Amino acid sequence: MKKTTVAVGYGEDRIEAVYKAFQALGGIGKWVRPGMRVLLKPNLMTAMGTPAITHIDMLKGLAVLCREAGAREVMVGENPVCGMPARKHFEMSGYDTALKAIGCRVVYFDEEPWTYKLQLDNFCLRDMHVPKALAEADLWITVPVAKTHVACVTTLGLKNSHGILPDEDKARHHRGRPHAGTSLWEKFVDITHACPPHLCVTDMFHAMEGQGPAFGDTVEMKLVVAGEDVTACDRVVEELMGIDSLRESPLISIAHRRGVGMGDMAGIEVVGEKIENHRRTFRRAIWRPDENAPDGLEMLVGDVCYGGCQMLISYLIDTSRIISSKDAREFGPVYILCGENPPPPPENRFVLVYGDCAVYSTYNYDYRKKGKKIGPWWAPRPGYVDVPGCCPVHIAWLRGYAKLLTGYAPLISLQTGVEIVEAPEYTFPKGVPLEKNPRRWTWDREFAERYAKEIAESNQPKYIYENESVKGDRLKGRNPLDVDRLNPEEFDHLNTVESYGKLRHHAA
Amino acid sequence: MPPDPLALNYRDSPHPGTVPSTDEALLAWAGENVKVPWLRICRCWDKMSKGEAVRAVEAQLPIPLTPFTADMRAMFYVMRDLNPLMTFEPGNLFTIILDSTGTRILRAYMERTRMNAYISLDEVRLDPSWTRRAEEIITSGNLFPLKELLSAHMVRERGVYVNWVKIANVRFFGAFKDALEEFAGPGTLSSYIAAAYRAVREIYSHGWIAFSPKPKGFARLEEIIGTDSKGLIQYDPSDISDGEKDTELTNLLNETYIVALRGRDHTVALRMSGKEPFTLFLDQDISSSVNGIPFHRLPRALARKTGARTVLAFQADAAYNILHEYLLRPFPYTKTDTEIILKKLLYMVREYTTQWAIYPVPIALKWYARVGRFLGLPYDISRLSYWFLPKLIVEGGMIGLGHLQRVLLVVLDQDQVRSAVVAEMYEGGMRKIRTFPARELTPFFRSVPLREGLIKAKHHLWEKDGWINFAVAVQAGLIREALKLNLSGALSSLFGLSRAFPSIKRAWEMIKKGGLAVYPDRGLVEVDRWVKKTGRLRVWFTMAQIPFDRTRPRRRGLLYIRETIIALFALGAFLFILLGMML
Repeated sequence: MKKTTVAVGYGEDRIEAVYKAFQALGGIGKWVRPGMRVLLKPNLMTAMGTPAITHIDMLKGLAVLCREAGAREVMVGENPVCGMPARKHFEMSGYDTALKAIGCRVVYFDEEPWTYKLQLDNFCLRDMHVPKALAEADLWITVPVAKTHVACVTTLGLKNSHGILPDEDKARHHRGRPHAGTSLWEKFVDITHACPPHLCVTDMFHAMEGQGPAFGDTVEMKLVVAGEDVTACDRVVEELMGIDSLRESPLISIAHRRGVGMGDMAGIEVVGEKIENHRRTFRRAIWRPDENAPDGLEMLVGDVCYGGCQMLISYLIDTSRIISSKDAREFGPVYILCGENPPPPPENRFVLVYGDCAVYSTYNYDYRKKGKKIGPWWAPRPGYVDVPGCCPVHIAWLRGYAKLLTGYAPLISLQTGVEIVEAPEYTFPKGVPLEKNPRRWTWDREFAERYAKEIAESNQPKYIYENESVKGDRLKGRNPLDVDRLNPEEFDHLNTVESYGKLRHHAA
Repeated sequence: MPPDPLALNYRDSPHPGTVPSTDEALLAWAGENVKVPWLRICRCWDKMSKGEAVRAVEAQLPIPLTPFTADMRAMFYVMRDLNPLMTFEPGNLFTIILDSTGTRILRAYMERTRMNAYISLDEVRLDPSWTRRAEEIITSGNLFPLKELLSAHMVRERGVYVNWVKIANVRFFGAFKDALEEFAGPGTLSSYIAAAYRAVREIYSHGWIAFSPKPKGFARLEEIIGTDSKGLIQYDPSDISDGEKDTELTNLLNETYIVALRGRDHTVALRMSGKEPFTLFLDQDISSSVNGIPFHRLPRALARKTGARTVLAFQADAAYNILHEYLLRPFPYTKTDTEIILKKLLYMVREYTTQWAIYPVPIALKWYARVGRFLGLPYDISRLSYWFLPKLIVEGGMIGLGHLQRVLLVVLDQDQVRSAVVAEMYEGGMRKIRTFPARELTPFFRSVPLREGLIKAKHHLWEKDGWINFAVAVQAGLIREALKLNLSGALSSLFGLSRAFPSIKRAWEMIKKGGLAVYPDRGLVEVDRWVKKTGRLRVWFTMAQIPFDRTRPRRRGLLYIRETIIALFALGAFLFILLGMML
């Protein structure tokens, strides 16, 4: 059996490590031919520095190598976290001018036209949109940074593919109910299956352990891992992180099982540095927010799926960890309800109800019916705030949190400043109904409240999935079995609120 | 018995006929300019450590290798408290002087301490039984066995244990001799600082000084500043001194400023002035005369006695405590280390009038600065949130700039770069400071707006030395205005502030015309947009609550109660005025 080759390069700086990795692979010329247009896709998840995002020296090293191999154009593109425009990320980190200075073209995926793509043998994401620049590139290289992740154990090449989707597609299947045909883990593998990168080059010079993917600690490894099989690359990186992929890591085990790359070390040949010389044991991200909440946040968690509310709540906790300590000391705790049938809060005020499951399953709780009013005497308001969505996309949760505590906890209420990185002015592709636009939930307060109220009063959720997507307009009356092969009988039990992108080119 | 300087004669070299005459000349210069003054200082400290009285005339002595004189009684207290922090306790020192080739021992001295102050300087006979082995060790470069070798010898000979060893090349004195000669021309403090800076750089670049073991204070400073080819030691102070002269600022810097330390049994006053006489410490008789004055009145009392422009006083225990944290924590500092140091620092700031005091008192610390509390502004220095702010600063910085942060600071005079420094932080703790030749960056700033020049300079340094996360460029004129505003005392009274209005206006104009640039600036633009949209007043009111603790825990809704009371008062006042007008 022919083995997949993955190279591990070591260097005193990233550029040297990239060179060494490709030297071990036999040179980048095996992939990059003269006249090619190459697209580099880094991980710029948010406007933070290293190691939360791919370091610019990785892009510089690769750009230089591609040019040496004769590439006509080197592009760098990304569509980062839901709702945050790529342009702001590049500008806030100073990457835009730096990349232009070294002759790269910066492609803001969310400002580019999208190309529709159909992949009927995927698990859940059977149609999606990819940026035109990516579709047109002769070669695209995914350049992730090695980090731990609360929902996926690690975020590497497979996970980095999420950044090629528009927000509308990102919001789909952002939850973990595989029995119901919707799974975040499967979705990541779906993307790679539909749109596999030609090369994967992982920045492991400074990796992240602990509370990744944003708030962990740095581990200095001085390594770069490269190969053409993204799953194999991820497997080697996880070996270096001390993770038993096929047992612990959902993405690699799913990809391996589905044949989207090689996830078994027996089928991988590692060239360059030896894994044994560099292997470390990374601290994993803590998966249970209710066990990790800081002072001032009381987590009340019911039946919660992976990948959705629980993951975003861990972001909320980590974002608020610094400032909540002061507000907690001066104002007392805030109760966060999450998941289906969470325990009732001990106080009927300062309650944040997070996600559709919590909103509809607590419709008869006391905090709603007998809840105390908060706010000034001239404008009292309910002592709870609903954050709807499955899962609540974007940073609606931060806004809801800020809204709940306005006038009480000054620091947390400053989190309305999330709009610094948001894109209220963002224009959407034509054809996307505004109600299905996840970004709207963050700034259109009236819409979000009306939506939450509908859910709360319904007792049972409205089956948007049933009414609008699978059996509705998406297939234009066709048999869903033609598209969704998995467990069609379970469609009756789906209780999710989907937000679909445009579907104008559905396959006939 | 204290040694008699007049009885000292240089011994013959153990290598007769092979020591160059230049080395001999330097040794002679050092004997006269370093050894003799140091012996006098040791004699003074010897008396002090035994509790004997020292007269003012005996105590006013020159500090070797500097143009300063100081009252050695004051310096004794500083030495007593600081020496264990900076070096060792006890700190008996064995000094070796090498020839200019760095291979042969020319002189050796034993310096003993009592109460952590040096009390004697005894020449040690250059016995081949130890010199040969010591020279071998020094030549090998591994100084580790040296201390034990010399300690064994000194215990045998004089019954003294050696705590650390200092090895100086005779050219070490040559570098300082040149610096003092350079200073003798202009005779200004800035010229001495520039000359001494160059001397230290030369000494480090040639390795003319070494320690075994290295004192922790020195080691920490070296680690932060950096003595390598890119460390701060390479900074050229002439870049600053060549800059535009500002008479007003020079006059202000020539005034006297005092930093006082109040210990349990003494008060010590460090004197700073840009003009002669260069006296480093105040006459201890003056300092002692304010011993009985309560701490919060100490700055005013000292200012009245000495005519100093500004007096800043610290409780010695608190100041040394912070220094202790700074010096003893392993470097580079972790996030926790930085937070603890900042916590202690901010706690001291919070304890105004008990741990520190200042005269003239700035407006920000006067009673009427707290009037804003009635309007809901929680400003009060004694409620500074010392436990919360360090976490916010350290973790906020890590979130904003990443775990490995490199920040570039460029100071310009018009389009001439005066200094370019990169501060490197790792995981929230300072790692090192690097400097770059200012002249190398100057072309990037010629005939372009400051921001554009900054971007080009940032990319140039990226190519040369690695990625820069954040860059700041500031015109030296702006710094000068800020300095003048602080030193002139304008911030200590409303009248002074009104008089300084032209200076403030000038600084503001400078900022508006691009005297200050940061890059990447997109974040700041967005913040500005958000502030404008949310309402400046609301944002600033909320932001003002971040640095201060509230004293009413767990009372929800109090913000609104207070607002209601304020609104009622305002309404009442309005009605009252309206009624008055109608009547």
